[in-house]
Amino acid sequence: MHKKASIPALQCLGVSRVFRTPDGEVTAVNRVSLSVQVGEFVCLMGPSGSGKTTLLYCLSGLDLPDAGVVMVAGKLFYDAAQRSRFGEDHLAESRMACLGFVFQTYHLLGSLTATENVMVPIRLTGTGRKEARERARELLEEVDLSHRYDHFPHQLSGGEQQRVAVARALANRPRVLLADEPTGSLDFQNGLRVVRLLRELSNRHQTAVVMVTHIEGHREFADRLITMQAGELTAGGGETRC
Amino acid sequence: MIRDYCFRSITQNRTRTVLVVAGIALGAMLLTTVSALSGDMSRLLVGPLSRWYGGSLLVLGPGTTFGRLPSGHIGLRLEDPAVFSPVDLNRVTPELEHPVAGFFYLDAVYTGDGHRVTVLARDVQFSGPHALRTRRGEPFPAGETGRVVMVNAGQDQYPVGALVQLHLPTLREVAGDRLLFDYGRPEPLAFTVIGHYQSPMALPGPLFIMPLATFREVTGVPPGSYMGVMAPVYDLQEAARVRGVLGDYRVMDAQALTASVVAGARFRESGGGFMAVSGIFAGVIILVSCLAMANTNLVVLGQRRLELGIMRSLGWKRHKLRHLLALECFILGGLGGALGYVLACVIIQQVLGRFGGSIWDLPGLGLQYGLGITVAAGVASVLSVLYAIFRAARVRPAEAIKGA
Repeated sequence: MHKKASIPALQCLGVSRVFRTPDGEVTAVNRVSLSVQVGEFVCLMGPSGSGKTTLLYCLSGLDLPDAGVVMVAGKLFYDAAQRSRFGEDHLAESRMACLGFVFQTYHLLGSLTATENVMVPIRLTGTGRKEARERARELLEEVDLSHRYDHFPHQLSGGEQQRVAVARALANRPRVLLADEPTGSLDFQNGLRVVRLLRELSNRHQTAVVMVTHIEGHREFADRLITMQAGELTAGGGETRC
Repeated sequence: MIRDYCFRSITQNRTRTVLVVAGIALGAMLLTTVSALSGDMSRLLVGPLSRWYGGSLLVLGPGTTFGRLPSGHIGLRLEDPAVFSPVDLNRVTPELEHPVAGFFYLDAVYTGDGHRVTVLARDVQFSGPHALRTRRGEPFPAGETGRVVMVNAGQDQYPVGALVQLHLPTLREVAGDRLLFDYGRPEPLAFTVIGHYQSPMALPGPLFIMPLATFREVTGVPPGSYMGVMAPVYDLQEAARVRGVLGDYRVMDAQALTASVVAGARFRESGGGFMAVSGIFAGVIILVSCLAMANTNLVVLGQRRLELGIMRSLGWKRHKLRHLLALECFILGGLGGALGYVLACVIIQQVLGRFGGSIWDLPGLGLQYGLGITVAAGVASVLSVLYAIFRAARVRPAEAIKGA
């Protein structure tokens, strides 16, 4: 379903994340390496506590890996060995430019309307208000929310909020979209609709998608399935499905 | 972008905005009120009260509005020496040497609620065919000039200047409660006695009311220059009772008058202590306000950890978050300062009104002060939360979002 490309949209090598607790160190992600091609839709599955979300956060720069390298579209996104080079502001800028993130619980900014939520990442790139608004409305139209432009998050249903979050994640035309259980707070039908939407958008924009999910039924939308257990990949890390 | 979000954040999170602004407003209001009352109030109250006690003539500035003192008096303000000079009324009534004599002869207690007191005249010549006499019936020395003012309570029908003592030389006859004056007319001017005043230092006599125009006529003073010979303050109460026309005028009786004089002296004596206590109080308020502001902002920023984490995840850089938070704090602080200023003005007006003053008499509380405290509250709000802002801007998205 996806188009193969010589340069992976997302690649990580030996990514590890260790949490230091009073009871000792907990390795949430242990030397994970994986590669996601342009336009590829990958499902990341595994039991709770297996490190899926932590891996996703490390890939997006929301959390900083203790070891390993992350590359987006062939460019170095983060290198734990050069931690000082990749400050949080640097990561924020890189994330804004080439990554989109969809959270399980939407995490829209409550004081902004749907349009304004989508406008935020666009305007952070220096785009003017008018242009950003037009682009945001285009995206909301794509996720079938053209009738909710000026609604605040609390005026939207869960499914609608998640679709706004998807539109926001796609605001800056990212190479990679990371989704952390985007259906986790939705009922089955709405969840299915969101996953289908992600799949369609991935195809349309050639955006690589890595989606954490617990629902077996979502496998059918994926080009590839990656599984994790105790912080390590157990299947699918380096393969692509045609 | 930052301004847009800041505005949205303030308007959409109304409860938070209201609570923060209310807290800051409370501090600004207390500070303004205490500062004003410690400084300007003492100037307004201690000075006049001490002058009352000293018995100097009290002269009103043009266009001054007065409220009532708790005693029932309308507040008085010392004259501006550049405009009016005090008059020793003992020169007008030489036999009166009581220290509070002046108080009885010219003051503004005749004004009612909200009446505008205006100075009608000054520099009256005590000469001419209808010149006023001393209580002994002797004319004032020719050419004697006193800087006397008369006040108009704002009611044309019964101006204060129409309260004339019986000792006018033109009084022809007292017929029951009627006073007949002869001013060279075929028919004498008749006025109804509305009461009798009893002064501890002046001769007792009846009171009556005449229109201001008549007063001008009978005294023969040229228009624009009138002399007021006032009855004792407390006689007005009886006047009001008898005539029912001065019901709006709350006057004090002799006992209250004495009490007010004593209170004035005490107030003057305690003025220094009052200032010191007020200063300490103001200092405590500033300290508590700053701490409260810092605490409020810290709590608010703590509650916004998730929001800040999301913003960071969307690509907001730290300096932009700092800018945003500082701008929000400044605006909320400024709003609180402005609101506190307005509330303080209302309170101060109420307090001063009770003591016979007006907020307009406090030049230090003008618009410049309002702008100053608005900006100061904004800056204080930012400064008090600067550390929290820096910490909040350093929030790690993963920690904030997972923690939520």
